[in-house]
This record gives sequence, structure tokens and C-alpha cells, in this order.
Amino acid sequence: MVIVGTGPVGLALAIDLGQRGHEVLVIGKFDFIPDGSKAICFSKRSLDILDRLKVGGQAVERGVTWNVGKVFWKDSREPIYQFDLLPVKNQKMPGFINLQQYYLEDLLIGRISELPNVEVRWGHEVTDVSTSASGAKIGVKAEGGDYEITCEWLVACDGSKSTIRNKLDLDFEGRVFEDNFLIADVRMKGDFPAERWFWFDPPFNPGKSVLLHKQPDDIWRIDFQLGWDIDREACIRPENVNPLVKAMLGADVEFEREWYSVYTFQCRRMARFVHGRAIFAGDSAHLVSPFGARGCNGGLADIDNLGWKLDLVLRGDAPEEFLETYNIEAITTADENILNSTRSTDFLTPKSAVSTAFRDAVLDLAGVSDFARAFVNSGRLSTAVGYPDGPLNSPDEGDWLGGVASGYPVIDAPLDEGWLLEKLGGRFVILSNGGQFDPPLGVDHIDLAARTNARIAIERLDLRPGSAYLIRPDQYVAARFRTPDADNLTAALKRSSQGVSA
Amino acid sequence: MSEANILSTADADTIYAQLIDLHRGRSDAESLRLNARLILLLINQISDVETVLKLIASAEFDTMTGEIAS
Repeated sequence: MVIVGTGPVGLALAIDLGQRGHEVLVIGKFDFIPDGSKAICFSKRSLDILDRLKVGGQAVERGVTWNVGKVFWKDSREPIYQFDLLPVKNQKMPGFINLQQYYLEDLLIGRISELPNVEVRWGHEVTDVSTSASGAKIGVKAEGGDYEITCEWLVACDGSKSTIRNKLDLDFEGRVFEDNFLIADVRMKGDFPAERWFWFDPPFNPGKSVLLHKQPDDIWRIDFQLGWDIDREACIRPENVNPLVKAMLGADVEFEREWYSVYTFQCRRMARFVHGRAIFAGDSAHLVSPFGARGCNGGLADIDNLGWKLDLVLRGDAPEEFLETYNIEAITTADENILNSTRSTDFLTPKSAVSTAFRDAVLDLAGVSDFARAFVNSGRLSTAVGYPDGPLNSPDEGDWLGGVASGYPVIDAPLDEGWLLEKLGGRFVILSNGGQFDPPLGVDHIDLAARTNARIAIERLDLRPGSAYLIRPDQYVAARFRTPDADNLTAALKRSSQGVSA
Repeated sequence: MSEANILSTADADTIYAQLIDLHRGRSDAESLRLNARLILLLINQISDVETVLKLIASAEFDTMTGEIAS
């Protein structure tokens, strides 16, 4: 089992497979954790995943927690729109944290050091790759000498310029957006709250947008839209950036430059993420604009979906074809992320007079009328993506109106002294409220009727007495039953763990 | 302004995207014409004189106060 790439996606997959007892080798071309500005916003769903990988608590502790986003227009002091990313309270994890990507990588590396079956080779660069029906072979360039490795499965988490994708000559189609954005990470003692603030057409960047995020260590990220025809070299020079920042913060606020860079963005994805024995996850497979924090969060969703499936295949408990369900479900997620990111981008950066007119009309109305606020799109922030038509779902048995449908992640709730999602962990679980049935062999059973502090969980899942859910190792619902029995549970388990109906 | 049913952001995004797509690649004159047609179709859908007249008046409001211009 070889993973290429030492970013958060590759490292997280290594932990997941390592925790499941597999020998994992991770190869990355850097021999350091690159600094600078990359991902900073981690969603509740990602935090739930990281918690399963045993770094969620540290990430929240290290990061800046936030739940609220506000949108301003022109010189308005009051937001014309605001949203709460954790509308349902009483969950372990917050709606979002901001944390510099290198801090997250540091936490993941710390966790890997506790797993003796996971090895990371830093500063080793993949130069060649070929695949066959039974595995993959890669050539690696390293200081101590070049070498070759063969493996059963190769997972490419090697980023948007993926060497593996390029060497296998695979596609990466999509759309480039003609705009430039400046990232100014500055250190200052600001008195802005820990919220996401977004401005359309503010006086300090007329006709364009600005985004402000708080990060740990008194670092603030300010993201200025610059437009298309600019001198990319000049626009990141401090003498050009500092006046922009000063105009925004006020002349009397002292700040220091932490990192200035300029970026453009694209929405792209591969046609397929599974190519025989080479599997793609994260930016190597799909790219989105940053508005909505769907890049790194989308990558973590990939490995969450892939980890347990690879585990079953590596153990011989599921056929190789089972990984096709990763291809299907991860593409569903990627398409949802690309759709939302494209729509946000079209709203943020209108490309024609009529498009600008609609955008401004929405903003006009949003200040005075509730209905228009739903149209204000400053980025639709990353949430878990559902697979309502997913290949692993079984149809509802009995009458279900509330709760969580098959193909959606279980919502967290208090349970005993802790939380429901921690108890679910990373295995198949039958979650019931009482009921008389024999769980299929080897599947854990959590009976909420026998637990304490389960009222909210029972309500959120609409678990009337006698009902049960079958939950996948990635905490997505596979099936639910009003009258569970050995037969319907076994059939649903077979479908969700083999990809075939009984 | 009175509020009828408020759309979910997902539905609002779908409608908005369709509107923008409608205009993709059109000249400004074509877009004006398309918007005019769309307004007339929506008026037909509302089919109530009073409501339509009220909506026409309320399109012209002060963005700071929300008050309708007279």
C-alpha cells in the first residue's frame, strides 16, 4: 500500500489505513512542511473525520473556532446577510475552525509517529509509474539512491499538479476563471470577532470583493479580489499590498507581513478517480475555487470514503470492484463541490453587464428584504455531501419521515458522558433503540435504550423504540429499519460492504 | 416589504445559476430583451393587478431605508 503525497489528504489516509492495521508507505517530495498560505478553513465534517483519526481535539484546541459568517456591501456597518454554520447545537465539533495547513500537517505527522506500521519517506520524488492488473510500480528519486517499489494499491494524493496523473497521461478537464486574488496574511492585534467577514464592493477595494478570516497566533487572512489584467509580480510587493491593508484596517492599526501571494483558480476534475490499481484523492482528482472551503475539506471527504473500502479489499473481505463505489461516491462529492464553487464564483465575479446587474440587484434587495438574502452567495461553505442514490444504500424499511436518510452522515448528539460519533468510530455499527434481533456476525451493536443521556440522539435519528440503523465505517447511514431482523440487517450489510445486493 | 415564501439557499442558487446561464454569450441588448420577456411571463404567472402594481412600485426603493420612492 503506497500513498504518494504528504499533504493533509495523504497523511490522513495513511493514518486511517494505519489505524486499521495495514502496512503503509507514504512518499513525499518535500523534506519539510511547506509554510505559506494554503488551506485554512476546516469544516465540521472534516473535524469529525479528524476526530476519528485522533487529532480532532488537538485541531480544535489549536485552531480558531467560528460558526458565523457575515456579508457586507459597500460601506455598510451592519451585515446585509449572515449565516450560522452550526444551526444544530449539541454536537462535539464546531461548525468550522481556522487553522494554518502546516499546523494540521504537524498534528497528522504526530499521530503517524504513534503508528509503527506507517512509514513516511520525506524528500523522495516519484519519477515513473506504471500499473498492471495486480498492482503498480513506481520509480523514486532519493538522495540515498534511486529505487523502485511495487505495491498492490497506489493512492495519488499528490496535489493539483499530480505526477502520478501526468505520468499515467490521464485527463483533468474543467474551467479556468479569469480573475486574480491576493492573499495577505498579516499579523496584528485586531478586534474583529472570530467570524468570516465578506465585503462586496467596499470602499477599500472598490468594485471588487474582500474576505477576512482570523487564524491562530494573531494572524489574519485578508483576501482581495484584484481583477484579471494585473501585473502579478508587482501586486504582491509590500509597497503595493500594504496600502490596501492599511485602507481596510485604518491607518492607525499596526500590522506585519506574514505571507503575500496571488492566485487564480480553476474548477476541474478527472473523469474517473479509480484507474485500475491507481486511485486518486484530493487535489490530484479535483480542484475548486477557494470560496466555500471545499478544497482540502473535499480531499478529506475522499479519504474518509476510501479508507474503509480499501481496508475491506486489502483484507479480502470485499472484491476489488468494490472500489468502484469510491469512484461513484467521491465523484458525487466532487461534482457538488464544483457546482457550488462555480456558482459562488459566478456571483462574486460577474462576467457581463447583465450578470453584474443581477448581482447588484440581489445585494440591493438583501439589505431590506429577507427573500433576497438566500440569493447572496459569498461562498457556500463546505458541508458533508450526501449520496441519496448511492450504490451502497438500501431502501428504508418501514415508515421514516425524520431522522437521517441512507446515504447521509449521522448527525452527532450527546451520548453517555461523550458523543454519538465517537462511539460509532470507524467500523460498521448497528445503532438501535431497544428491539429484539440478532445482529449479523461480527458487527457491533449500540443499543441506545441501554445508554445514558441518549434522548437527543434518539430524537435526531427518529429512533422510535424497536428501530435500528446500519451505519457504515465512515459514519454514513447505509440502511434503517422499523422492524430489524437478522435477514434484512444481513442483506443491507452485504450491500454496503460488498457493493452487491443479497 | 412583505415576505412570501422564502427559498432555501440551494433553490436560490439553482434559480440564480439558470438566470445567469440564460444570458451567457448574449449582447446587452439581447439580455435586456430577455429580461423584459421574463418579467412579462412572471407578471402573467402572478395574474393579479394589485400585486403586480405593488411589485412594480417596490422595485424602486431606497437601498438604505427600504422605503419606496414616491
